[in-house]
This record gives sequence, structure tokens and C-alpha cells, in this order.
Amino acid sequence: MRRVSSSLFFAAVALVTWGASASGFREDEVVCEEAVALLKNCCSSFQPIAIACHHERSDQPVGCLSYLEPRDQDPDIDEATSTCLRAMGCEDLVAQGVCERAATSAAHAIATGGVPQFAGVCP
Amino acid sequence: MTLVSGAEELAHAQEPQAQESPHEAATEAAVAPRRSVQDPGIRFSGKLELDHGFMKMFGLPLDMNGARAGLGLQTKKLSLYVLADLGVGGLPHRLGAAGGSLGAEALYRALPFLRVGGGVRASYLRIDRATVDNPMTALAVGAFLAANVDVYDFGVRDDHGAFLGARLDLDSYEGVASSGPLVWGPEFMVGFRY
Repeated sequence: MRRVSSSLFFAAVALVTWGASASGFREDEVVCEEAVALLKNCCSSFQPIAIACHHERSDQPVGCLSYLEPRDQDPDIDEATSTCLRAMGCEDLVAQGVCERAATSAAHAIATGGVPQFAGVCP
Repeated sequence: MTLVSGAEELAHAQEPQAQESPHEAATEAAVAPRRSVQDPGIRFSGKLELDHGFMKMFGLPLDMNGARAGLGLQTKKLSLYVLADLGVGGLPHRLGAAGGSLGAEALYRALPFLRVGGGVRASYLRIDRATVDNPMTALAVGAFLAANVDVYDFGVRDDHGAFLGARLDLDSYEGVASSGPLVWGPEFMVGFRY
């Protein structure tokens, strides 16, 4: 009984500790991350280094030179593309050239420091 | 003779009563603990469960394996527990997930082998990202319906035992700048209650 009480106590402490750092879920972020995980698992040449699935929005000036415009950045893989990718199996992703296009887009973004373009990756 | 036979008849007539008295006493002694067992007394109870949940989040399947501990009170018909659980699992393409919850559950013993009820809980869930190491995290409040079927019981009240259970969970997670997702689905469990 004492062991169970201790477990409950530690669970409460863990929940409060975790809760303090919780940031919330966004659908576009979750489906983007799931699509990237799918490409990582199925496409051997795909490097997800340059891809961002964070949604960022800031109306506040961050520094003295960045006060002019709010920033609004969506995840690099949108929900429609993610849905399309998740509907395909690994074999289809390879056979239909999706892996190749995704790897090329990611590699280009790494080389240029730009944002990878996934809009036309899925047929 | 008449007096003697009258006395014998009286003795015979009393003999069964004399034999029944110890029998009745023994019967009462045997019944006495049962009467106390039938009292709806409150006692402490604990339980452990192992579960597998088939949840849905943004339309994506989220499978979770968990362990749950409960501590509470039990009467003949009702049981109340404070529950804590931890779980690990993930989304279909190996995005790992982990979480825990703290809640309360009330169960009604509808049949000797069946308990039904529900509860509320506060949950935390962490989902790994594929792009960076920093995971997505959120808190939730939720509720659930539960049913447990005893497959083996023991104890004077038959209220200790091993059971199979099913639950339907619904958790409302916090979102970012909007209402968060509803994560819901059934879970199935094996458990031991003492």
C-alpha cells in the first residue's frame, strides 16, 4: 500500500513538472512531423535536416531591427501534402519517385539555406 | 409404569431439543462471520492494471501501452480509486509518444463479476518530432467510461481478484492559439485488484 501511495505521489509530481513545460499541440505540426517520419523510414536518401515543422507566429518585435513586420511561418509540409504522403506505402513512395523528389528538395534546401519545397512532391 | 413411561417419553421429547442446541450454536457460529461479511463496510483497496489503448489524434492512430496503479476504498457495491498511469507508444511512423495521467474512478458492482463506472483525469502527453529533438507536449483534461469483468476472485467478499477491462477515453488537450485536439479511443486492460 505504501508503494502504491509513493507511486501516486511521484506521478503527481511528474505531471506537474511536465505540465509546466507543455506547449500544446497543433494539427499542422503533428501531421508534418508524421510525414517527415514516414519519409525518413521509407526513403534512404532523404535528409530531414533542413525541414521545419514548427508553426511560428510573432506579432511582437524580437529585436531592434525586426520590429517592422510580424512573422508567420507554417510547417514546410502542409496538411494536404502530408495526407497524400501518408496515404502511400513505402513501396509507392519509392516507385512513384516521391522519395527522389523529396530528397532533392531537402538537399537543395540544405545547400542553399532556403526553405524546402514539398508542394509538388506528392503526385 | 405409567409414570416411568411418561418420564421416558418426556426424556425422548426433550432429547432432540438437547441435541439441537449445540447444532444451532455451531450453525450460528458459522453464520456469524457471514453476517459481518455482508455488512457494507468500507475498506482500503488497491489495484494494478496493464493496458493497451487504440487512440485517435487529428485522425491519426496513436497506440499506447501503459501501466496504471490505483489506491482507494471499496465497499460491497462501490469502489473509488485515485489512479496514476504512465504510458509509452507512438504514431504509425514511429514518432514516439509518452505520457501520464492522474485521475479518479468510481465503479459500481452491477453483478458479482461485473463493475461499471467512469472517472476523470488530468493527462500529459509528449510526442517526439522527426525534425528536431524538442518534442511536442500538452496537458489535457478528460473523462472515461470503464467496465471490468472479474475472471478470478477470492477473499471473504469475493472482491479481490484478477480482471479484464475495457475503457473509452476522451481527453481534450491544450492547443496553440486555438482549442486543442480531442484524443479519444478504447483501451483494453488486464488487472489485479486487492
